[in-house]
Amino acid sequence: MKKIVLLFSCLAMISCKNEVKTDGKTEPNNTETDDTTSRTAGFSETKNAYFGNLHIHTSWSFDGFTNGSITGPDDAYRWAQGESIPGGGDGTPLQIKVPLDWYAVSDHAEWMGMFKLMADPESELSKLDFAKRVTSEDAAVAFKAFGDFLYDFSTGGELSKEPLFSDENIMKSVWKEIIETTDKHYKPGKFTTFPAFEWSSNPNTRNLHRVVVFKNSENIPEIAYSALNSTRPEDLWTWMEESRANGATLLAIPHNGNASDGLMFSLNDSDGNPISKAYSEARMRNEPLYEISQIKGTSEVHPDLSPNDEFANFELWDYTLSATAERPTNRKGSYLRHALLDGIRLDSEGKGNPFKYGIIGDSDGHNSAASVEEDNYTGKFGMENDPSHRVNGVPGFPDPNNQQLREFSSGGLAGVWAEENTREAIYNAMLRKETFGTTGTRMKIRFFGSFNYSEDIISKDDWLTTAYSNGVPMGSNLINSDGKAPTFIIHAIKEPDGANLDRVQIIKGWVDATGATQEKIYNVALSDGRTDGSVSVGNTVDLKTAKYSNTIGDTEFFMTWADPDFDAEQNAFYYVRVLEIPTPRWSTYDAVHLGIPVRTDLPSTIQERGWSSPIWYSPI
Amino acid sequence: MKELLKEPFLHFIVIGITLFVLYGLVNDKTISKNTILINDFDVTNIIARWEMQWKRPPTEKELQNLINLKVKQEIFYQEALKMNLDHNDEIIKRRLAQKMKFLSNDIASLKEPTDEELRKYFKDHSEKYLTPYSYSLYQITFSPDKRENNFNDAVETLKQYPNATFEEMKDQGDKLPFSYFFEEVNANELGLLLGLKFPEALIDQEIDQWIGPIPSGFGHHLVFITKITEPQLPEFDSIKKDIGNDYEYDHQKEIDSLLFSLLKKKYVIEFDIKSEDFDPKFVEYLQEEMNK
Repeated sequence: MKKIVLLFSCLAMISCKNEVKTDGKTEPNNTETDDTTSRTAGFSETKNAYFGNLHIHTSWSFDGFTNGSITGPDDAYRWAQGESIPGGGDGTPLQIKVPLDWYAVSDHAEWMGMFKLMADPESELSKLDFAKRVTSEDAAVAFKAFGDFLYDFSTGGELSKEPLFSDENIMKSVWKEIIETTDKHYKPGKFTTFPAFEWSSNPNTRNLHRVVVFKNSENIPEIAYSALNSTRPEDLWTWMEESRANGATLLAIPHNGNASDGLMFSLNDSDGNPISKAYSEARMRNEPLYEISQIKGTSEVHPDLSPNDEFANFELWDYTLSATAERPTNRKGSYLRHALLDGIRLDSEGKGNPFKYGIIGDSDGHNSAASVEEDNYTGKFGMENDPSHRVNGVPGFPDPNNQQLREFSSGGLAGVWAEENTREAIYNAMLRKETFGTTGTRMKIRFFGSFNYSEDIISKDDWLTTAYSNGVPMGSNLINSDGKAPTFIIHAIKEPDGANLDRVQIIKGWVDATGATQEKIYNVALSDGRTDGSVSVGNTVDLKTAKYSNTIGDTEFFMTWADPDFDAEQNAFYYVRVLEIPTPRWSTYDAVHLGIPVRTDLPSTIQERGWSSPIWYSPI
Repeated sequence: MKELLKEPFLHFIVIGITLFVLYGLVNDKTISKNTILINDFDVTNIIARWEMQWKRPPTEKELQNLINLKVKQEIFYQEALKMNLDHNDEIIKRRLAQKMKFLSNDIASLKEPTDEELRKYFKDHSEKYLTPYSYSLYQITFSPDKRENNFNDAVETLKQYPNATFEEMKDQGDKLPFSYFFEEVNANELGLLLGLKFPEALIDQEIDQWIGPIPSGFGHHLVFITKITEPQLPEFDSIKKDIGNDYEYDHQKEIDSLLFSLLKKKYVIEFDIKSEDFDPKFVEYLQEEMNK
């Protein structure tokens, strides 16, 4: 528990920073002293962007398995590092083009304990005669013993009646196996892994799922917490607090508010009572981030909620988790922007901010692979590992369900600003919300705010050091302005091998004098010298070849921006949205690959995008 | 919901259950009762699992609930077996097959590999462990955002400053967030930062002079390489852990196919395909292959 208190006092320091004169060197996260810091190659005080996923299932998840995945966590970690793994479906192997920096397999907790792996070599089992033969130094003896064993076991022979084989006490759970596999693939400085599982609560098929991530494998509870224990998020948080008291370090990340029919960001708790300050605090103690975009759609905003946002109608996946392709009816409570607005309103009413979420993108792939590359999309499930199944439908599936598969997005990515590629650094970045989410592209977004930046800050070589020392990064708070509007620094750069950028927007939400919430979108940078945001960037995609060209758009945007409508008395938040130029949707790549017409019931091109975590302002 | 009420399958189920319950009521005395035994082992187990989760024993009511859940599951399971609901259930088949795979995985890890086995594996798969090319280099970037023709500008700059010092060259390009000097950076890292074209174009380049234009995702670059380190095979001891993991991974796959081939010997696989869509020769071929 001490650790948590320390981290939160640290967060509090960040929020007060704009009032404090710093010596220009102090970095908020370096105030932690409980962590051993041996620096790996690539360490940077001003931080690097590391891309990864923490929401990945394998055949060890019940639905990964029933939907045709044939691989497990070991394969998943190998995939993320660039190896080719078996794909199931039509048999095409899965391989990412550009490997990821970090990865966490988060199989559903609901069925983890159900199937036991057989034996721990440390256990009594290894003392059995046959085990001695199997482990013999003589390879021939070992092989023969092994053959005998297999035969005996499959024919109901003597060995199969050995009671030790059915003794639960010597059985090792799948959960433990997952943790071990996760540790095995951790290579500090090169590739980071986290033990994780998913708590899959969906009361009445309304999605309340959370991925639970552990900083490391120390003091992890022996059994993961599942929705069979409770479907109430409050109970999950209680369990998390208890786990912390027992020495574990963990956080939870909700996703797919779009499939929650208003339940994800409901203004009531699970008992139907209005959200209280205690509820807000418990929620924020346990879940600092929200997964804004993944295969089951993007839940930033819905056109019904923000009719003036011309880019809101993007990869929505408008379904509940019902098997009958049911549509949700409640928009409020389902999308992040609206929740951020509700959050600052509740905060201004003294109820705390239960929705003060940082932002990541993620995958939810159920076939070990995150499937984040639009031109290398292999589907969510194993059965979709066949372009014809993805586009034309899985044989035997009702068409509404096939349409659900077609409306899947490719996986998103979590971008994390961390000093180095270690569990320590990446986990701490998630905790302080110095993260951004993308729809799968590896664009990088920096976002800082301060009342103390000089006007020419970005022309200086050491601007980044100053941005940290005189201000706060994404995910932090600004408070108590004397009337002066904050200055923001925004830097966005395209994915090296990806598409150019169309524009940078700042999305501001605030509570006005009457206590009502408002939102406004500012186009703060436009490519190709445009000055009018209503002018489209154009579209270079050739639907016959599924190719686009970077002859439009910019490779990089870098600017400062001050809020022209700032009111020091109003609670507000600001986050950055960066749009790419249009590129082919995965279904367009598939159609071209199959030599069939591009479907007209799906967008043929999309503008992939990224979102920074917000910076919040409050008068006190 | 309306649609659901029209569903014939639902009618079938509802009628079925009603009949079943009625039959049960009428025949209550004639049906011999089955026994579900909950013994010390079961209860201890239920409690132990709860305690692992909650770090406290269950209350009496909680325990009663847990036992009730177990009984319900057991009864449904037993009745489902009697109704042969497990037969030809693809999911049950897959799950049991997967359990066999777990079994073979555990057998594979029963015996720790010897150093000798690991060294042999290392030798046989050495290409997998080669480090990537590594470079120390200076670079300047010519960005399409700021120039009409960034390629030509790079060419012109190289012509104009063929022997420029590092200080002179430093400000010739455009400001982008990439270092002017990279020390011992490997090809993979360069690929992640600048795009895969960049390290590819560095292969076989001359060192100690300005070269280019080298393409990247951000335009073109002029590059001065001061050092190239060829791919190297790390010392066995330094990567023994990784080799062990890879060995185990491959070994599990071997054991899995061994298990399959051993068990297959107990079965004859027959094909009874009459469809004219299939060439009988192909069926014959399958028959032969599958029984090898």
